[in-house]
Amino acid sequence: MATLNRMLMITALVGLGFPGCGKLVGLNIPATPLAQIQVKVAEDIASGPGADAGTSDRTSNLRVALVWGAQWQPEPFCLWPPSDLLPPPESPGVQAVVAAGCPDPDSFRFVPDRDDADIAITPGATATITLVNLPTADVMVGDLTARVAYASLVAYDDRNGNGTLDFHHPPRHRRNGEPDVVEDAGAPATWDIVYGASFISMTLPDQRVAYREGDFDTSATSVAFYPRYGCGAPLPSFSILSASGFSQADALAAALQRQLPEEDDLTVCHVDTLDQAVVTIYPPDSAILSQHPKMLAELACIVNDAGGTTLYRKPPANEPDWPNITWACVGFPQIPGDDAGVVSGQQLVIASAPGDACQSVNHYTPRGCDNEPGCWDVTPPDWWPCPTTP
Amino acid sequence: MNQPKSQDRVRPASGSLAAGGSALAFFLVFTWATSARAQELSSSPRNTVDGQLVLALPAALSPGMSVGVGAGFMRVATRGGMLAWGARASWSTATEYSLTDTVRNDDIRLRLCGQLQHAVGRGLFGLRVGLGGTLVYEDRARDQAARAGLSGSQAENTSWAMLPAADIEGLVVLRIWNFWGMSVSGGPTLHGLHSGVRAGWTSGLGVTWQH
Repeated sequence: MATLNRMLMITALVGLGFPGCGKLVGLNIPATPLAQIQVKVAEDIASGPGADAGTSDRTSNLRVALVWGAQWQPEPFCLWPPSDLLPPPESPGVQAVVAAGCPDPDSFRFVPDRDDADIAITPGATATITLVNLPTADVMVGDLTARVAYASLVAYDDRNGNGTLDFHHPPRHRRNGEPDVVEDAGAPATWDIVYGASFISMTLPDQRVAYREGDFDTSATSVAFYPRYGCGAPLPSFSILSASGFSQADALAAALQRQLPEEDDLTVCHVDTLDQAVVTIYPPDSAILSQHPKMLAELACIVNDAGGTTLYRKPPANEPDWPNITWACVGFPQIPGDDAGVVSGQQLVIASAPGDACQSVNHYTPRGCDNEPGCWDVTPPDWWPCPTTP
Repeated sequence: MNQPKSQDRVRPASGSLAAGGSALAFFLVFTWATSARAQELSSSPRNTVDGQLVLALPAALSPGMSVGVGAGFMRVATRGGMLAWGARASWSTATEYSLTDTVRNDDIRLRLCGQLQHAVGRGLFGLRVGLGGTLVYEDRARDQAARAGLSGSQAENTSWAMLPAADIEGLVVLRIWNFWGMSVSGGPTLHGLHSGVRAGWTSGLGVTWQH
């Protein structure tokens, strides 16, 4: 007993003699980064067109956002547009609708799901984006044993100064005659302006952030998620991938054969660790940008339906403002290889307005179904411009 | 101290046992009977050893409750038995979570104690003052670190710290059988941290052995 007593006394005296040693931090510390990504923005990042073109302070609110990509399928109308039922000049034509309403530059673009980290940056200087959270399961494709997520680094002018890339979306249409959900996007002057991104489209060279869990099974569906066929697999956890891209024509041809398109130039393929790579964001080539003027704006647009489903609606009661819209009368798209054939009938397609934040196509038909029990077969309104016989 | 008094003595409870019948009655009567025998047999408890279940506010971790075990030894220091002194030690642990980290603190409390006490019947009431230190072992694990491929100090950090500490506890010891009894204690604590003094509390429930 005396021995125990002496031991306790000694330890207590030690405690009194060395107070305050060590450093406890508890919960009151900043989160340890899970990943740090080096990013650099080209000096001429703000040289391209945009709503603020010509102003002198285009880079004062320059920021870079890490944006995880969505799994997305384009609607068939944009991939295989049907023929016009009305010739010009009665209608602007289906190609005009595709150009105005389908995603720019093509149907193989990077589609944002959500932004994560966001930092201010100076053109020409290297900065570090810190991730304190892993991508959530809904931005990853694959099962628990093998799944992957991809992100693009987007350089933009934070016009409203809120420190985050603000996403827009096309109008969300409700079914069965309920009013549409119209986005309150604020004044266009306050919309963030995207200057460039490391990953814009699979048809352009890209540098992307990859996060991989488990294996990277080349036979799994995750390989077809923003594919880089022919390039190396992403490393476990975070890595930086580079690819040359492929053409849309090659991609469509490969898709019809149930294959993945091969990258145009396999020498561009790289897989780097975060320490090895600096993701550099350049402004898009001016020739490409003039051909696809809404290419960058679409990087701030999320999609309403990632499944590629077309929502058909009854003709509206009010006559559209014909001179100021892009429209066409067309049949229904035929998907190659679809044995069900082409649905008979017609539709009026109207592209989103040039001033809208996001591109979209509205589909109207006097006889149709919106995938719910309430199908309709109505007499077209007086203003209906399309032929009334199939 | 704790000499049995004549009014505290009771007869053996064999009659009550026979009349009882329920388990609860048996337990109560048995406890009462054995405690009476304990008082008959015990002498002045010069030495007290106890072991306790400890519940306390963590010494350094902001929220939570630290749970563990402790032990102590007290010895009468004066002839009348009013003052005792000794030492105590306890170990308790608490784990808390933030959005990104899991932090576990192990508190090892080491105290030199002085105790003012007074015996009443089978009970001993006291006020115990403890001075010493609390050795804190902190383990902080970053959530999702393994999934992110982190290892080493990026995934987990540990540190030790010795904090000066003081306690004031009220306590009650009740002798139940022979030299054995139970104790309840509790009161405020003070710990010196880098950021200042942190007030807390500690409590214990346990078994005592007095001789």
